[in-house]
Amino acid sequence: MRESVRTEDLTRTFRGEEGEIKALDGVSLSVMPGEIFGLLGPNGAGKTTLTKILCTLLLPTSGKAFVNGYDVVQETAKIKEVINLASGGETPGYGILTVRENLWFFSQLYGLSNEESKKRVSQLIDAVGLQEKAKERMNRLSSGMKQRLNIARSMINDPRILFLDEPTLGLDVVFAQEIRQYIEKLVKVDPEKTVLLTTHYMAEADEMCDRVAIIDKGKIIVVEAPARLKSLFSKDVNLLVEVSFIGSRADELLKLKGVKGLSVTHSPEKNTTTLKLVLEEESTIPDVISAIKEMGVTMHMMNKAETTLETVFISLVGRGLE
Amino acid sequence: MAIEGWRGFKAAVWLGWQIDSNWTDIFLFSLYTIIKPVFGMLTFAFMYLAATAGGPIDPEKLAYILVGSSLFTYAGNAIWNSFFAVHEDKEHYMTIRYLNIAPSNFTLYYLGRITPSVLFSSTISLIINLAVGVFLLGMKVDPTSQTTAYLLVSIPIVALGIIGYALMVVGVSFFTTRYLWSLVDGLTGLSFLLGGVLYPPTVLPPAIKWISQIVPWYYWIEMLRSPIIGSGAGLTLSFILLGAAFSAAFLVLGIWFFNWSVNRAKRDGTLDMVISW
Amino acid sequence: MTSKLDLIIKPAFSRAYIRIVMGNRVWAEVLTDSMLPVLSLAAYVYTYYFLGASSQYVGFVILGGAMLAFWSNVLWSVGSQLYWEKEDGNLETFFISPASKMSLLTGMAFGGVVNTALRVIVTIAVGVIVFGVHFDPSQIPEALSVFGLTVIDLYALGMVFSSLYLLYGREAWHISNLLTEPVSFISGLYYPIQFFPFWLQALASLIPMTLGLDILRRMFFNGSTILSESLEVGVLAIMAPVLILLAKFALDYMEQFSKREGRLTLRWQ
Repeated sequence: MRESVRTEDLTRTFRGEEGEIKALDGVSLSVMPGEIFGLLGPNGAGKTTLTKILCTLLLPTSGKAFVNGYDVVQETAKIKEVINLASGGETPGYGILTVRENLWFFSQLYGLSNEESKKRVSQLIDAVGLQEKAKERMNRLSSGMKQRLNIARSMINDPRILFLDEPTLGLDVVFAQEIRQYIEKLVKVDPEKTVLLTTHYMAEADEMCDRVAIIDKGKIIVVEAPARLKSLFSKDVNLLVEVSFIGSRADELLKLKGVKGLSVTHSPEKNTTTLKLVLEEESTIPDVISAIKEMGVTMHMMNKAETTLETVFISLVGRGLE
Repeated sequence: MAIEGWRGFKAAVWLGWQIDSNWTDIFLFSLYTIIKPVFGMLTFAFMYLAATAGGPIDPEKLAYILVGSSLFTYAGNAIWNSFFAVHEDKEHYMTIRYLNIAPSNFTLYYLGRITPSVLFSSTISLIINLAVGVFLLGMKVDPTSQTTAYLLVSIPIVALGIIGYALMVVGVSFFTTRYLWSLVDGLTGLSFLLGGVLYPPTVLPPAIKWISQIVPWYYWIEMLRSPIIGSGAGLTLSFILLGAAFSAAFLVLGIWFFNWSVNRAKRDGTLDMVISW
Repeated sequence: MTSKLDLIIKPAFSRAYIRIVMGNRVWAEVLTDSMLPVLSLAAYVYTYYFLGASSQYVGFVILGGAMLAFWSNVLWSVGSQLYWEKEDGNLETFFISPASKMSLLTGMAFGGVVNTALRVIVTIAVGVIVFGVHFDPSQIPEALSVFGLTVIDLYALGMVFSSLYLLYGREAWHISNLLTEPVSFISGLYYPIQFFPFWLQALASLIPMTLGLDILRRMFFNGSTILSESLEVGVLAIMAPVLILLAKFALDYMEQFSKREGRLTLRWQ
């Protein structure tokens, strides 16, 4: 069976003011049809760079990439017919045109006949819940509705391979859930379809993805199914600790032997810091407690947590997505 | 409050300068600063040549047109940059809400923002144009000590008027979309047509001639042109006083209208609304 | 089944359609766009009055104003359109779609011509009614052909410019801004270029607007015909396919170059 996406030692460098930046460093992966494939990584890890190369918006510096079996450098025309992209937080479109007009226009970029276009536009307007706003100008929609329109636009050509770059960013909880279900249904109904999803929401990746690739500093660290990753890392001890505000001193905990990774979230309104630590074994817990006490902060709560995709991420990358 | 206002103003001047100039290196920017006004002036010079082909040069008419067109750069830059400053902040850079909620003075911010183009770029254009006009085109300018005195009196009067005018345009910009730039084009066109820029208003048909009397640029441009050309003795006290009255009126009106516009835009919820296409 | 022709015709049609719809949806803009530019133009007419020029020169100004309408549209709408699309976040959607970029630009150009037509009509009407310019009616059919050919050349030139905007952001905007006055000067918008030295006339002839205006002036005010101006008309006719090919080449090259540099979708440059 032909892979939907395949990369071979893909590298991309950018020239910055302080020298070259390697956004992707020898990335090799493959995604099969019918998969919802997640790309997880902190900001600047290379997720968007990879997505842009696969969408033919960016050329690789070296290595190869194939989408639907076609080379992203040499065979772009064939790739464009079967892909589409939705970037969360972006709302492309023409403010002065209505929802329906915007979708019609984008359908024409894919050569849809008027009849096909009309049918498809109506289907998508229903699917994303914009029925009441179909005749409204885009510049009058709320940002959440613009994002719904963006998602509808990304499906206008019924793409075989859909790239979703943080698609639920900025959406309300209910609609975000509807979108996730819609995406899952897309692939279930048509096993030839593939979705490549980049996300910051671990729970989203855990829920939706058949496999995830964890990427950091341009390199792929692991590619595996979420369930398998959790079972592989089930021996890790996951600690959830809430302390009074600790600032950057929290990083000192990483120096302790047996601490595999740490995620820090500050809550200025409560003046607290939540630490998620991944430890190699339980015997490290007393060292952690001592270290926290030495920092002179008050410990409000400490619990052991289940292994989740987030704790696997912290274990592998050494830090959270913050 | 005063310190925040002053610092905000300085930062806005710096920002305006960066936006105007940091898109390229200094050489290209210098070329840009010279080419635009010079070619603008050359167009009028060749119109003059074409119209008077074969005939003797009338140095006063030539100077009237060339100095007038050069001075109009202040008007053009004041109008265009005031309009675009708001639209860039609102729709392109999307910083307007943060600028407005900051404690520094919002009015001073916009004045600072347009200062580099209205004051520096326009003055540089004027100097370059005068040099090209005098040395290459044989334009005659003959300032005397008396006309220089007129000029020194006129400059601050006109400057205050331009500040008020610019604030009015900024105020209007809060209610327009990016694509109503043609409205701004029209305002520039109206000032160009009726402001005594290239010809005295006596050339206009009677039906519209009188309108020049209420176009502030007619006074402001003449108050600067006459002393430069050397016919400043032709400026009467009443003309200068009228120019000063327009300056005062526009300054007061401009400040009031700006503040009213901001409040109105906040009330309508459009201050930071992106209305672009 | 989507054919290659569909991917050329439909994007062009739809882009032209939305440009026309967008350009006419805000009535205030339709009015201001078509009528207000006449004010500046009138100033040039009165300048000629001030200088005592013959009435022919008023006709030159009106013709120049009509051509300027298209030139402004070429520079600011077609030329810089990809810049605005990038800033609005639409450029990515164009480049990941299979639609032909040339057909999108052609659609933009066609929409631009339609939207500008009203301004041109208003300009000519003001010239005739207010300033009493007389255009020989027998010359109108041939003059329209020359005008149309010039406009095609101008828009093809605009397509060449548009490729620059893929790579550059604000620099390209400023270059467009920079070109406005020099091109107006060199192309003799308001006066015949016979007053230029020969080398400058030759240089000016590379701009389609110069040749077009020159031919039109001679047609309306000297009784020339397409036949008597066949050399210049021939040059205009050759320019169109050359510029269109150049635009295709430039667009392809710039697209690859900006993808290599990572600037295709880079905003706020």
